[in-house]
Amino acid sequence: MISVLANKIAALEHFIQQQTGAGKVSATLIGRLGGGAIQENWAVDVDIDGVLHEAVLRADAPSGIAESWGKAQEFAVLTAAHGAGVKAPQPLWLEPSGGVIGQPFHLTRRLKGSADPRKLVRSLEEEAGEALAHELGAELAKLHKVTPTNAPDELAFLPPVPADLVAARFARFREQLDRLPEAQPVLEWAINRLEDEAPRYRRAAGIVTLCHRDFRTGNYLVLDGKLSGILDFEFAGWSDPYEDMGWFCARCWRFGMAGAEAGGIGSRAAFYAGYESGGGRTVDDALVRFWEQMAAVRWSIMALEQGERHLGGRERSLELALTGLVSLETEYDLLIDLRLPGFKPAPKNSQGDKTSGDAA
Amino acid sequence: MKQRPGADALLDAALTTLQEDLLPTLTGRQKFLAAMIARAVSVARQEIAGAHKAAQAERNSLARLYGQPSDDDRATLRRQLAADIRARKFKPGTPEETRLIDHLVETTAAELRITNTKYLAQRQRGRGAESAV
Repeated sequence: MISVLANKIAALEHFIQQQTGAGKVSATLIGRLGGGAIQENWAVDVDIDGVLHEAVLRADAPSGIAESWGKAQEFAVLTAAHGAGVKAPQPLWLEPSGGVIGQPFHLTRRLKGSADPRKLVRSLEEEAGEALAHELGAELAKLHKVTPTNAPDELAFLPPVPADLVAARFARFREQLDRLPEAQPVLEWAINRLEDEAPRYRRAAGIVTLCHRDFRTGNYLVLDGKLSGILDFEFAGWSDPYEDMGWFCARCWRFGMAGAEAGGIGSRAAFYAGYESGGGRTVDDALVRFWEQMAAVRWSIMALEQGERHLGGRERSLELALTGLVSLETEYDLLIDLRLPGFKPAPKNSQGDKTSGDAA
Repeated sequence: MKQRPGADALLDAALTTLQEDLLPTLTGRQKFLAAMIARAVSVARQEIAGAHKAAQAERNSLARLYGQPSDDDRATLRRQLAADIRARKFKPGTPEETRLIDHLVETTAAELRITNTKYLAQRQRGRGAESAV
């Protein structure tokens, strides 16, 4: 796409000029940004009447995945999140038609920092990790203050939550499994098990908020150990806020640092405290843990689907092919964790084994 | 193809060259890509060495689970098992479900031995070692 985009700079400049009413606009393509299995992200410097704006241009990758929103919807969610005070890139301009560079895109202000999850979880000191987990909890609580009743009009496109959200998730999982070429006995078992357990975890039934639905380490930027912004709102929707909390804490998103149960960076206690301090409800640990197991099933299926994007020939990519293998790890996790009472391991001090667990 | 060098020796030689001669000279995205190639070759090598044994073990385990052997291929057997699970043929808390879970654990562990034996070892060692709130 770089050559395509490089050839469209004049069109891009003209578009920004129209959007801003500026006299003179010049845009410079800086380069492709990482972290785009689903998205294409480009750093672009835009000079508007002599003032430099560092921006990110975001367009869909060649084969998106079905659940992700297009650019116009993502821009609307980002605008709502930014409006709710969530630390996220400021939305600048949206081009929904595809007529300017060949596909729809939007531009946001470019934040500094890295989203690389493996580097992050291995570089953070304990204190910085706890502070970051706390801050992420507080930011998530801000997002969760947006509800169907107080939402801005631009979120009207988000489909309403089904009457039985958890049952709808199970139905969706099974539909996804039916579309995969190979049968998945472990995931079938895991879904049954969660279906049997679900009635015990309905205390928060009825709470519906704006959810990020991919809120995890790897999807936020950190600079010098501090949060600079939350990214990747393309899966957002109305949901149970515990779905976001469970996704964040799920073992599959700890990047090897299993002991740092909040995203591989800090403790649950810090994350929960941050959530409550940000105006979120009192966190029910049991519900977070239930949704962590839901997260494991969802990620396993997504990983298999990503592998199929390569194997099905839609998008040749070794990275996607290898992602398909990762499902096995999460399936093994499910086989262990779903059999623990409350999906919760026994406290450390009750065990003779003093090994440090599976933190790599 | 001649029996020597054979698939395993070729993959081993390719992997060693990649890891020892090429990877240290690379940086950035090229290093990332080369590391992915090394991982892919390594998994393929393990698969060639272990797949037959793993498939046989899975068939034997399924024969025990169903009380009879079957001539169907592995994909068909798995499809049948998945359908039986979804149809709730293994009732929670019954000995049948326990045997099912044993089968799933063994099969998944056997596959992890091929794709990521380190992960398997860490989980087996660390079971329950994660701190509770």
